Amino acid sequence: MERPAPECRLPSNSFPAASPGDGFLLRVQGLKKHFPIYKGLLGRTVGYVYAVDGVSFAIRKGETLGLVGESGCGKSTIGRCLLRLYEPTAGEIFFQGTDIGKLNPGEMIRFRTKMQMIFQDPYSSLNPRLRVREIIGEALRVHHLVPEGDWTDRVRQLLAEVGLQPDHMARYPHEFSGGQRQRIGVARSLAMNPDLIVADEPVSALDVSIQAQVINLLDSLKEKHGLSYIVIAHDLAVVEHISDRIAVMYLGKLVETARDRDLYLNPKHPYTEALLSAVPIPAPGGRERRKSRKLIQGDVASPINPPSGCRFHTRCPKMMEECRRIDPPLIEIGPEHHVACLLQGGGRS
Amino acid sequence: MAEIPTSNPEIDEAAPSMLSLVLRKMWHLRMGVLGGLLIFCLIFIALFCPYLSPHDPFKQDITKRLWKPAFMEGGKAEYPLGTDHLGRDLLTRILYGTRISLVVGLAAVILMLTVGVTLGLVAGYFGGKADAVISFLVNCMMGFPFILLAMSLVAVLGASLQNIIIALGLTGWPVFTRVTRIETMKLRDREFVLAAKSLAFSTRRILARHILPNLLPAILVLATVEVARAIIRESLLSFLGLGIQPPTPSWGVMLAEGRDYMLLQWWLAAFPGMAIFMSALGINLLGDALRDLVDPYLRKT
Repeated sequence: MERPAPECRLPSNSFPAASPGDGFLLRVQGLKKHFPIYKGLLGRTVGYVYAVDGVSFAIRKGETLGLVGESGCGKSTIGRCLLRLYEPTAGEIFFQGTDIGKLNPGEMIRFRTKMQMIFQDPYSSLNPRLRVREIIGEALRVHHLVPEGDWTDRVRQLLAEVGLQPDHMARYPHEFSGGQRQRIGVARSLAMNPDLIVADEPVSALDVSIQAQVINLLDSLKEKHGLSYIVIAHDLAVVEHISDRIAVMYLGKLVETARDRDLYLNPKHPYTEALLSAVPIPAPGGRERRKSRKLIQGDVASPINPPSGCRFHTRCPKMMEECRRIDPPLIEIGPEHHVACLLQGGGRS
Repeated sequence: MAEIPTSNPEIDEAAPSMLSLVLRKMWHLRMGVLGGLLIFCLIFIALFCPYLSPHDPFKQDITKRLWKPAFMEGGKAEYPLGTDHLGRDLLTRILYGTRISLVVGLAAVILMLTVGVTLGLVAGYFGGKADAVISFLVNCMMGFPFILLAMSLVAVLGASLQNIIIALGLTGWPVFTRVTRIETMKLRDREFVLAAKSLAFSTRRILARHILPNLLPAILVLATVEVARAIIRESLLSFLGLGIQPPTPSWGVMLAEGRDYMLLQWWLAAFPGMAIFMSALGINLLGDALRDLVDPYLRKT
């Protein structure tokens, strides 16, 4: 599963190296993000949206982690907290052994170059007033990533890497299709020579026929640049293709993390089972499997007032009485396979 | 039977020439072109009025007072629009008035832009307390009658060209703050701004390069309208005697002077009034057309 960690290629990079013995590119511990709800004339805080409520995971260099869950479960919030676009309420984020929550703004700028984001909506993620040349090249110039005067060459090179033409440089975003725009977004991230890319629903806004192209592009860039990915999606089929490990989220918490195959062949959490049986089956014989589908009813409970005990108990087909009281921790049940469910022994240990 | 042409020669014509494209575009924006022409005339007159005007705007000759315009019976070709109550040439004074109006209009709007857009960006981008304070200030300003505020400012500062500009600028900025604030709030959460943040760009760069250019169409349209409004307000202040002081030829001053002779010598008020109207119209037409041109989605059509 592990790939050899490629050398970091950013020349201007003086960031402290990963702490030895850690071995993880990114380690997140107890991450929480609570959004306050204001009300009334004086803006009193009347409650919180518990968007992310205690999430821990880790990624090795060269690994791709798929983060799945229904909309509103806090996937995107995690992504934005990692890049400190949102300030986490609690928890620690270690990137190459450094706690990025403790960095001052100056150090943060150097750090930012190593973690980038690809956004969901390619129609909103590119500044409509800048030409492609400027969209991709601005970071190169601002952070002096290439010698002055070489930046257009670098932009040309980046465009080629994401499968666009050099003469696209002089155009504006509105002259491109959704798929092409997403490629421009990818090139913009690559310009920073990142080690980790957080792809927030990178293909959900695209036509199905284009989705595979962009996913394949991400896959090929990973090998070439020694990237690690966190791919956020609500669609397991998208994540399946690209991920080494998958983390399933429900209402601000992780319910199951496992290697790609383990999760698909041997899901342990009732929510994961339900998600998997919701994936369409194109193969013959799918009709047979469809009969055994376990679809869950109802909507995600409110993150403002999450259910007591296990958060999934309100919709769980296997709900037991103690699920109402006990919030199961994420426990290891196999190699790299963690589940948070009382049925799997969680809470008893 | 009438013969039906198999092809339309106008459509068949291969790639339209550059000239015809330009002409088509101009036809599409014909009102803007008209506005542009009016503005061009205005600027031309402002720059060259000493050469264009037949007389000295300040030279009084009591023997020539209240002459009729040339096109009326008894008028003299020497004084095309007649003379005022002190025997000065009306046309000359209107031409010189262009300078005052343009300078006041442009300078006041530049002042409004500087104050208004800066505050709007801060309020919209940072939100929170900054937004609360700025929005409160804007609401106070908006609720206060313009005339009262401008009058007290001029009364405190004294009536001079410079102080009129300051008074107009300091009373006019809240509109810009409102528009900028709302538009900035809309843009702040767009993904390209988040992308700029994750590319570690400074807040100043994000505001200047990623937010401000996207506000330009809205601000530009507003700014042109505000130039017209500032010109009208300058006339209003001058009309009330709080603005430009006689004998300086401001259109507002001339309106005020003409008021006393409205019934018999109507042209004394009518021509300066028309000058105000034409400039305001031209600026508004141009503003509308500019909005269409600046919008990148329409640029290619």
